[in-house]
Amino acid sequence: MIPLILLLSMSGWVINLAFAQSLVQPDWSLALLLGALLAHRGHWPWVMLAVWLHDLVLHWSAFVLLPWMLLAPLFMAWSDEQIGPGLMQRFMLLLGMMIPLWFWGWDIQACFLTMTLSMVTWYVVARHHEQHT
Amino acid sequence: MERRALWGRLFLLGALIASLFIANQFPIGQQITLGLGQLLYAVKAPVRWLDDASLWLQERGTLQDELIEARETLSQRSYLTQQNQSLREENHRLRLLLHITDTQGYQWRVAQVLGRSPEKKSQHLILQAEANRDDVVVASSGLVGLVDQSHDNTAVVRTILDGSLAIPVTLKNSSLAALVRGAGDHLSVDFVPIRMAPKVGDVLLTSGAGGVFPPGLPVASVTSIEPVAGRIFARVKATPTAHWQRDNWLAIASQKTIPHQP
Repeated sequence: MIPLILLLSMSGWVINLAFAQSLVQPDWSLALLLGALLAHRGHWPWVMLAVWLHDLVLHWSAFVLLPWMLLAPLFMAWSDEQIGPGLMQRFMLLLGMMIPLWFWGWDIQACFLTMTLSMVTWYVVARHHEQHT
Repeated sequence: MERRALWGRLFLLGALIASLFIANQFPIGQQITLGLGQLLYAVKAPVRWLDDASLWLQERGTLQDELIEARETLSQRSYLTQQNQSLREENHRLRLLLHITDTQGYQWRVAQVLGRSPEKKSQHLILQAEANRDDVVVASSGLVGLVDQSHDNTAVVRTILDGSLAIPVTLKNSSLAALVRGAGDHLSVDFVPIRMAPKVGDVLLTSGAGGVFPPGLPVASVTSIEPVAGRIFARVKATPTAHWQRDNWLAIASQKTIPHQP
């Protein structure tokens, strides 16, 4: 599953660069990576590496979404310990991650599409993870 | 023991942040984007096929009208080319007489846009063209930016909205000398004295100072001017005159190398 997500995530860069401004599209790469992280917080090392590359390719800087993404597994670990694992905390985190995306000049529609794709990925990866444990 | 583990983690975190800062100093993203150039060309193939196919579906009358219009434009252009050549010759003779260096020494060519960065205003572009670092990229409506890296018929461009570019500008028939800097989704114009402030809607042109940008290119249209209490310079905001978010073709201007004269 991990290689497939990474491959799709890299394809996402190409689609984002090729069709920017000609159609409204999500941040494919971020949506897939965020979905994978929400499904299982232990995915954080390769997700962070991929987010770092995502930032470099699409924004030419390592400090666009990565600092926010670094906070995500910490928040998940903290909230799982304090409140217990729950959907609401994960949803809030997903919503929170759309703020830097919007701040960096993405359309509100693109943020909404990213969130939607992220939820689908989250469901698929979580299901896959469940079947294999 | 726990204290030692904590220090170890903090050291790792510090090392990670330091390595990110160091990696940020190198054009890694630009190099990866350059490598994606051919892939972007391949991905856009269906769009090109669709454009070609749409020609077959256009009506004959529309195509005839377009042909007549193109012929008229061509005849106008040939007249302008002749006029341009004679003016260039005259300009060259005058410069020789006045012993002035030739500032018109740019080679122009067109380049196709392969991709854009996905933010609303696109701060970076990928072009299919042979180019050198610091070549100037221009749209029909004004300055777009500078070539940042190039390799194997692909070039990545930093547009004027990128914060790392500063362009010396002036106003037509004015002694104003200001700097336009990118601020993400708009441009900010620095060093504009209040008494020389332009009006909203005025177009700022490249001054040619510094020798990177050819003089006289439209850069930005002024959108707001605010005097700041206690300062001699006004806070001026502007918007680029060029619209590279939609243009599929742009022009690249490379400086001609001037042979060294003894």
